[in-house]
Amino acid sequence: MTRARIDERLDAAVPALIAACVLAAAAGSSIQRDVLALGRPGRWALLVILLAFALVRAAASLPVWRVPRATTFAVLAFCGLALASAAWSVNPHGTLVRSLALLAVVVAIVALLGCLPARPDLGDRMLTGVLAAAGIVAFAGFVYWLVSPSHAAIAATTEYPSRYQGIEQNPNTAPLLLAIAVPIAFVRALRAETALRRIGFGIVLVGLLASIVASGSRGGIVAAFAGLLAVTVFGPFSRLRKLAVGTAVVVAFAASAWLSTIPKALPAVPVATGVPAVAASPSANAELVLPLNQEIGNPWWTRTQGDSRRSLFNTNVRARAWEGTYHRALGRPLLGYGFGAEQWAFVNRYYAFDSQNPENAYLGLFLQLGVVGPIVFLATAALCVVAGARASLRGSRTALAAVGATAAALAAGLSQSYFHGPGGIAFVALWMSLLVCGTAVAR
Amino acid sequence: MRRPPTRWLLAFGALAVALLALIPIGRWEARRHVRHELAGIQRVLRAIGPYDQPSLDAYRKNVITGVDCLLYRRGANRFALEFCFDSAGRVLEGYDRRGASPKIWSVRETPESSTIHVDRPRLEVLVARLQAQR
Repeated sequence: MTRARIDERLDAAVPALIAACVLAAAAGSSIQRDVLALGRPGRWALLVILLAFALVRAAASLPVWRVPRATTFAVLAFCGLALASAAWSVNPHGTLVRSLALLAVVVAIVALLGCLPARPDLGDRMLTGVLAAAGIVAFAGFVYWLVSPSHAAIAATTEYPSRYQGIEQNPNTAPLLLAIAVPIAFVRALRAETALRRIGFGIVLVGLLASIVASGSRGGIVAAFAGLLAVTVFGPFSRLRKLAVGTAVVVAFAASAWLSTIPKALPAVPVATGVPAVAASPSANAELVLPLNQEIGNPWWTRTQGDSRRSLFNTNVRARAWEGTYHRALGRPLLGYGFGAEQWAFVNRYYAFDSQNPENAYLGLFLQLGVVGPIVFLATAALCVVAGARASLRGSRTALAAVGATAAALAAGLSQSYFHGPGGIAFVALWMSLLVCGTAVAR
Repeated sequence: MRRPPTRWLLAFGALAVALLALIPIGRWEARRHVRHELAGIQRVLRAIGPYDQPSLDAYRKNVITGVDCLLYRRGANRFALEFCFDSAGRVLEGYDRRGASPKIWSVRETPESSTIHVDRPRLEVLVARLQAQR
């Protein structure tokens, strides 16, 4: 077999392997117990396989293997900071495991992207893997909803409307991945060479967006349309076409946001304003009156009915958690509590806030790595995005899709804390889109 | 593959040195944070006074695994002051609710860093007494 054929066969496996890694992570947070049992260990096994494969692939193209050094330096600085933070972490073992997993994912992606000078379409194949995985997650969710609607959607309460969650445990989980895939599908649809392919990618795009809107994930909607806007801005289109596409994206964003508000929460049970004085409460068990995990913003303090109803613009509950996380991070402002130690450093004391992390990746990084963490991360991201944007404006279709996906991934970080969790559904997609952007200058 | 230029090797070397230099800073910051939190917990305990007193008004049992809390009344506020201790008798958290918003000091994430110890069996008696009361 010739060298070219070996390379071709190895590269043909790339999208499937990446899709398998992303799907395993999705399975690792699935609501379906059998899928969950498969995904939990499977995601780690697949990351190891991805790393081994990437190193073999890099070795096979060693004479021409090359990555932009500035990008590699920046991303290794972030990984190094994560690794070093095990020395001051509140949970050194947890930090070590997560930082090593981050390093493994980053090394695997960089190893693959180093092959770009010899195999320019490899970046495109990697993004295909992300898009394929997202498409499968969306389709599987839809099928699951048809088969078992009560499991594929959470029931409405007096605080939340019914929300579609597909195969995941939480309505906000799948949209994280789907939002990153939306701009990839959009670029594929825009640049498709045949009408059939354009229709195919158009259907995928609509399916991804429909899943996000049905989930009611505000962060997912914002992230997906941030990605689409980035594609519009950095795409090599004429001014008139940019204006037309940009207007269509903004209109679709407004329509999606409105559609997500159609499901309503159940009518609230009338409660007299003004909570009875604490002194009148008879129980000696304080947890029954003022639970520690519901203290901040609790009606016990505000003396008014708790503000926990969900709406398009009501972010009071999350804002409470963000403010608390910010103050908590100020306890160790320089270097934080340790990479990946968010679940130990973050204490949920926030009324109606149902999460064990601050639901904001930037605040999460500040909490974990102090002010140094977000600075190094954002510097890395900026380096990658600038490289990707330049390549996009020069007409690189791969870079354009990666810029859109990165914009979506970074926007998703505003409402989800996921930059540090190697087993998370969007972790591989985030670092892959970022690094495909960052290596765009190599082509 | 081309050989990396010397300046990049130097840059990676400098990065490694910088990361190593962060370790003592990170550890110092962690110690400083623990000292600050423990000082706050000490202030709460001083404000409480003796653990067994008439103002002892409420409790929490197993609020996180093995962690119980005692709460003390000040005026009409039943939950004005609170401290939490783990199964080893280490005080992990202190709460002061006498103002308009809670003041919280906590070393929950690193229980082993707490140097404030209480007589756990004696406090368990107090928790049991409160449980039996109402």
